[in-house]
Amino acid sequence: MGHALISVADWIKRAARTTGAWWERFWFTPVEPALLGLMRLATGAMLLYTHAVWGLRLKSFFGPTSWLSPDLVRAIQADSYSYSFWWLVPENGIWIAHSIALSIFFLFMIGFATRVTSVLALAAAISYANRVPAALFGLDQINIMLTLYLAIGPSGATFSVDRWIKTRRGRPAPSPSISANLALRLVQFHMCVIYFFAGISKLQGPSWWSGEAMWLAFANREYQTLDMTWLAWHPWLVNLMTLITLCWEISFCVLIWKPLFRPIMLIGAVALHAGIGVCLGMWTFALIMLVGCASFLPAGVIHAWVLHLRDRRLARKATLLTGEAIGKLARETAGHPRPHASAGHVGHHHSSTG
Amino acid sequence: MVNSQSRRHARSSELADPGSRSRLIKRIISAWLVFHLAAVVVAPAAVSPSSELIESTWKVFQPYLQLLNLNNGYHFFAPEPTDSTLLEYEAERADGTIVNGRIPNRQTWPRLLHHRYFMLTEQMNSGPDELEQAWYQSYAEHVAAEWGARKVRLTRVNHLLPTMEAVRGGMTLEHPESYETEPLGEFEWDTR
Repeated sequence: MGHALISVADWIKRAARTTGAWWERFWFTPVEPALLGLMRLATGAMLLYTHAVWGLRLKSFFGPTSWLSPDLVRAIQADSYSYSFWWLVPENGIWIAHSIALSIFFLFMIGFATRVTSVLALAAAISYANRVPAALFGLDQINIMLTLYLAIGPSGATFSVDRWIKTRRGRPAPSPSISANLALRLVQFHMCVIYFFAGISKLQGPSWWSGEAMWLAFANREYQTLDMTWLAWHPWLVNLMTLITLCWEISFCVLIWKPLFRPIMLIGAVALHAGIGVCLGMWTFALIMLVGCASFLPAGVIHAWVLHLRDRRLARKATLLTGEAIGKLARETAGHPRPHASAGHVGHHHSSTG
Repeated sequence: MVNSQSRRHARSSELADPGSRSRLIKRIISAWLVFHLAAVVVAPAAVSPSSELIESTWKVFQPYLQLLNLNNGYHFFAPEPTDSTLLEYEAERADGTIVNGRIPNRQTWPRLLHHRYFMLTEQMNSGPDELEQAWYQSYAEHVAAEWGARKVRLTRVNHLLPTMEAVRGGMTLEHPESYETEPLGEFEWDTR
């Protein structure tokens, strides 16, 4: 009995140690922030576009007699902790508030004062969502989720105005950081949760079992942007698409962590979301989901690719500059013959002109 | 007394050590991570139907989830894709002219705006039952303000999805028989 207890205690100790080591490696290994910078650019652009579109019907959605009146929204959110800056905006101030929010999204996108603008962009995006809760869909959820994690990590460390300013000041390139890894890991985990629940919630629906669900999505005229009614003559294809979608969504949270399957799962993500964009017209949702999936790209490879591109650009620039300098020198020599010019003189001339 | 002082001294010198400070920070971050990850999982798990255990757990995370707007179900096209809900309105102005409209309108551009209107009608009944009339009232007031009307009639339109057999038999997605209407009420204002 005592021996069995000791074995159990040993097993628990070993399991705790292994889990601890895994946890440390998973969350606290520094990674390059280049991928996070690219994701900030894409998310910022989507935030800017998404919210700029509100501007086409600003009064209809955010004015005092909007579709969802302030009284109705307050009643819907009576027992919640939702907040929105829109409750503080007077009727004649909605355009000013909207313009300030768009400016924040723009600054976040270009990566200016990113530590501040990322938090402001998050608060602004949440405020818009909480003002029009019944006009939202998956796009808004993913926008906010990504902005939250981009605010946690150093998303302004690369591809940003912040980086440009730092480079001009002679600061070194950003080094791998734990917070970049934390942010990317959080996005990855959240994407797994999203696909898992999107998948298992479908198991409650008979049409996902009978294989007709994809038909029901394609046959919805309000979604449809591409006529897919030809599928009515190929039910087996509909069945197959339904089954693949279901299996892909449910298995994503497991297979995406396996190096062998990761490329397949990511290609599947592109296919699924491109389909949503082309057939159902939800390009914004499709693209932002792909931005989330991009968190699974290898951060080190992205960083190396960025360095490679930069080196090529610098090399091209250097070649151009050298070519220009030779051309300039040749022109000067041809146009102004200088019988007494010494090498030192030419050198001085060059330095004085440029 | 001396013992507790020396313990305090030992702890403060431990904190001054960068290694133990970083360990402490990692522990704090880890604690938050566990809380956050649990919240992210509990939010979609608490969507009905869910157990009492999950619902009680969700209440613990509710403030956190709602403050960060992470309280989402992610039940996309689940449990299954269903008929669409549309909203038709008839706005009568003081001079007797009538304006008819329907949301969503497929002509709305950009497409994102079309989806916003579509969500307005799809989620029309997503609130508590007691808010149903307030919801219709809000939509009617907006239509009235938009068109300067004194009377607004609202009709819910269910756009049914045809089966594959029906389409093979010649039915189109916009066949008149695929629309079912249900009057939601008439809303009137004295002056406007």
